[in-house]
Amino acid sequence: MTPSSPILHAHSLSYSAPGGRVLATGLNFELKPGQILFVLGPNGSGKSTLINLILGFCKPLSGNLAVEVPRSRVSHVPQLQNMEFHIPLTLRDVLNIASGESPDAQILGWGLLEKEQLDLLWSTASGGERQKTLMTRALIGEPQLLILDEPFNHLDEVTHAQIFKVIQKYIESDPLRSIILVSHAHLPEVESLGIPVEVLQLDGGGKS
Amino acid sequence: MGAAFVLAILGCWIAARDRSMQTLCVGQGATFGVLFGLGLGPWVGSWFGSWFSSDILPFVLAILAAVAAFDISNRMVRVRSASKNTYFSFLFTVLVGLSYLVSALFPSLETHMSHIFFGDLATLSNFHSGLSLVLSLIGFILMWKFRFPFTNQAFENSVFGWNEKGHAGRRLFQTLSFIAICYGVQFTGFLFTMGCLFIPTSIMSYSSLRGLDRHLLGAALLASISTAVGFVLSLAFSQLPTVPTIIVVMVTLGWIFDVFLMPIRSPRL
Repeated sequence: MTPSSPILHAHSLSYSAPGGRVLATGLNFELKPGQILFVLGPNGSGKSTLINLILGFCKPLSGNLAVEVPRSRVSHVPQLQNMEFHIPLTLRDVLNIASGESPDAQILGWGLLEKEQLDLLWSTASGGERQKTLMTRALIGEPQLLILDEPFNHLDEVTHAQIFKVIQKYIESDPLRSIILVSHAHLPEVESLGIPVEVLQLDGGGKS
Repeated sequence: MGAAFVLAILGCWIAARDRSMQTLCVGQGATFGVLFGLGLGPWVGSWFGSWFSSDILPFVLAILAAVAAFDISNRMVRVRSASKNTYFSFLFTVLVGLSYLVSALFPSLETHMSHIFFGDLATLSNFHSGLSLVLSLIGFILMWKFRFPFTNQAFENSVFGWNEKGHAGRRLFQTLSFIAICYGVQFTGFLFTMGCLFIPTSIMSYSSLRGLDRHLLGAALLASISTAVGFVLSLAFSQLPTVPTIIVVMVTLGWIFDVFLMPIRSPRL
């Protein structure tokens, strides 16, 4: 892989929601190393379905979607469907179960979590602490492609700033890394980071 | 005790996947399979020997029936209009009916029916006790080695809604679960198996013990200590049935542990 060859490219891509409603037709886009693909669109426009396609969880109706990165080098921070978990995991457990026991320096090095927060329970942590734990969990694996699905939802401005900083650090620390960022807002802030941004606007009506 | 230890750890992950009610169906499917196998035993035994008819055939049919119950329950909830638990309850009820029907068709099963439902650890043979210990040890080693991926699957399934079918870790977990549940139902009974799966993890989730390893080991210790205490009590007082006594001891020890030994709680921590 060279810095100029795309790690993700779509040609005439069409896909539908699980119920059969067509969400996009004839999509063309690519993502090169060092870039951010910013996927923008209202609720129900097919942003999360596109992520599922990229992760191989579902198949397109037609067209091509090629991911040139092994699945093991892709990390995904999805939206939370459910806050509760039966086993009283600490935030450190949530990190450990994904990638084995990691040294504190590796966990704290991303600057999202403080050491004393690692012993908090997942079930009683705040929304921001949970989101930062999931971000750290994804980053510990040193992925080449990081997919963030609505990472700013329900978070305060301070946490937004921390996440922007981590996005910048992640891309700038390795020229082969890329991000797919799904969000319905915050494009100006991402563009101001000084990282090349490709914008993919979805409208959910079959066109893009 | 070994079986209780392993079943309690397994139960933590099943509960974390929110599959408790489905597991009752799987256990009831195993019960049906064991009874059907024991019913066929007298016919099959003359060809293949008594060990095959009393141990192997019921176990194989238990596995087949448990897998069928799992598959049917998954298909029932795939496209649904009521809650998952309603369909699982429906299937559980049908399987209870079928189990009783099988026991009525084979009159020799009357004593087995009670044994398979309520269990009786006191009558377990030396061979089966030894086999249980060896299988429990193997099960524990596998579960402890894979506790991170098993917990991660449960976490991603519960919190993200992911369910990666065909994943190697998921297949390993399902295989271990089927073997443990079917073996447990056949040799220790439905009540003991389900009690060890769900009572310890439920009690531990009320305690202020935090962290994965503490929860797993706490549940396993509660199940195995309760089994030992309940077993001794049932030997000392002949009117006490073994498995129901173990269940009562488990709940009582869990309550004592929760209320008196772990009193410091903090909603934030």
